[in-house]
Amino acid sequence: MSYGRSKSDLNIEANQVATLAALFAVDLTGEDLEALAAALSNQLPSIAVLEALDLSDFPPILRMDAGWYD
Amino acid sequence: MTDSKALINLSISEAAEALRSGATSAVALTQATLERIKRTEPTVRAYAALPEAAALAQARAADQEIAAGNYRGPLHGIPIGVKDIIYTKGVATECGSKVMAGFLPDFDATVVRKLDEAGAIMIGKTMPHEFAYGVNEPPTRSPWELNSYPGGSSTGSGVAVTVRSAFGALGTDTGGSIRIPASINNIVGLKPTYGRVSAYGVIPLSWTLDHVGPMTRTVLDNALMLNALAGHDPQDLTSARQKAPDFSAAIDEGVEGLRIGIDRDYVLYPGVIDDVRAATEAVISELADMGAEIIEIRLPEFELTPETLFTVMMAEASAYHRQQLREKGDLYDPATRATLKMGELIPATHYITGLRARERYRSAMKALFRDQALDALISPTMPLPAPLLSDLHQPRQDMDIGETPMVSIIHHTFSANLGGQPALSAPCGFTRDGLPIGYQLMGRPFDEATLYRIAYAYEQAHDWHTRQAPYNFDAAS
Repeated sequence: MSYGRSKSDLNIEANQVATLAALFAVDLTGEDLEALAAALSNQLPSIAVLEALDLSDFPPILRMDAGWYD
Repeated sequence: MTDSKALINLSISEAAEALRSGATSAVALTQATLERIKRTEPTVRAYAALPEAAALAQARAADQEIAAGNYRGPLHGIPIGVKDIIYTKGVATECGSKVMAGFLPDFDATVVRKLDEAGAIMIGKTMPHEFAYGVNEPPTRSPWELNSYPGGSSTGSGVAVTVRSAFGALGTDTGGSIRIPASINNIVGLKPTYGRVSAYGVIPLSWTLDHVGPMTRTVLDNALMLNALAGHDPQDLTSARQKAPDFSAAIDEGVEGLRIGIDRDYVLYPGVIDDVRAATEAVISELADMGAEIIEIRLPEFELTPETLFTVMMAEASAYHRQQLREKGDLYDPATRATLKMGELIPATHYITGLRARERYRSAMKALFRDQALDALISPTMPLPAPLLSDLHQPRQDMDIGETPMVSIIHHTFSANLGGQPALSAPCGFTRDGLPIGYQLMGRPFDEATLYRIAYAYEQAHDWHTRQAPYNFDAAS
């Protein structure tokens, strides 16, 4: 899934995924590594557009009450 | 009234009147529904579990209460389906997954308890995508076109309501999972305001995005179901304290003077096919003729809703499944398992960025409604009708926009989950190939009643919602 964004020139390699997976204790096969490397590479443009936002006025508040009138 | 075909075609409000007046019984309604299930299930497989004996026992009890003068209200004696990620005491709750095979909850979810208190008959558990994630292929098939996507993740709920094997059903919606199957199956689906309906006893997909809501054949039925479901639940920490009104009380007050916004650049983007575009414009035109003010708006923040929602949802889903994935990983569908593993690799910092981006979006949406004095936003529910299952994850051939049909399907629904606003999908026509088209209304938090007003006014002028899928179950059985 890339959610319609253009592909990035950057790529995530299987060995990088293996390092991350070891860090987070995610059990991956060799096949998983290739698939996840491709999937994460597809995600890079989507990650980039969020990281590029000016979020300085927006703390990571989890509002459990969706009201607009408080 | 005993003719089973006539009974199953009643709306909830019509069946309620027949029950209240003594023209039919809860047992007759339940038996007619069970007969319909026997005809339809071999083809559509909408149900994961059918506790037939318990349903008939509930129906007998309802008839006794009604006969004794203890009529509880419009859901009393009405057969309702429950999505199979929602806890039902003593009835298997398997979430469409081998991981949960044979799981018997020892309590009812709050929404199930509320339906029971309203006297509804729990006719069966409806099939979801595995854990409501929407990435595997459930066994359910669409009666509108057997090879097309039946909608999800409240897949069985949508199909059961459209084939008349339930009068209404509970769905859940994290990114569109009530509204998408509602649109695909020519029914009405409401995702309430976040916190309006308790999620206690519902297996989470994404704690901060999950909603539970009703799926029905008419707008009035939907409001009647929400009346039973809404309200504060101290067992759900995310439950809102706002009082729930009677959602049907002002449903027939019309749209005169209501201000309905549309962001044509976003919601009628090039991925919207011509038939959907025309149907949506027709709804807008008719609402204007009825007295609504149509306001052209632009909200650039819409553009980043997919990235924002996926970031939050994937991280939260993977957090919930983390332990289970290690203990029973081989029992997950491969597609679900891969997506859960991917979610574990999202850095915490990026999850936080997603939460901040959501707050930015909510702030912009709130300002838009305030500055434009809007009552609702309108869009197609989906840019396209139900795609073929075989095409779901392939690049769209009809236009060069770099999307798969699955990505297109969620284009308009994600924003209401991020904002926590109520959003409703209702029928507004058919494509030239005979597939249903739905439109979506998105409103102010805790103002579901206005969405019902608008949708009811439109529904009164059309018979779209009465049309049934062409599949002939009588010939198939």
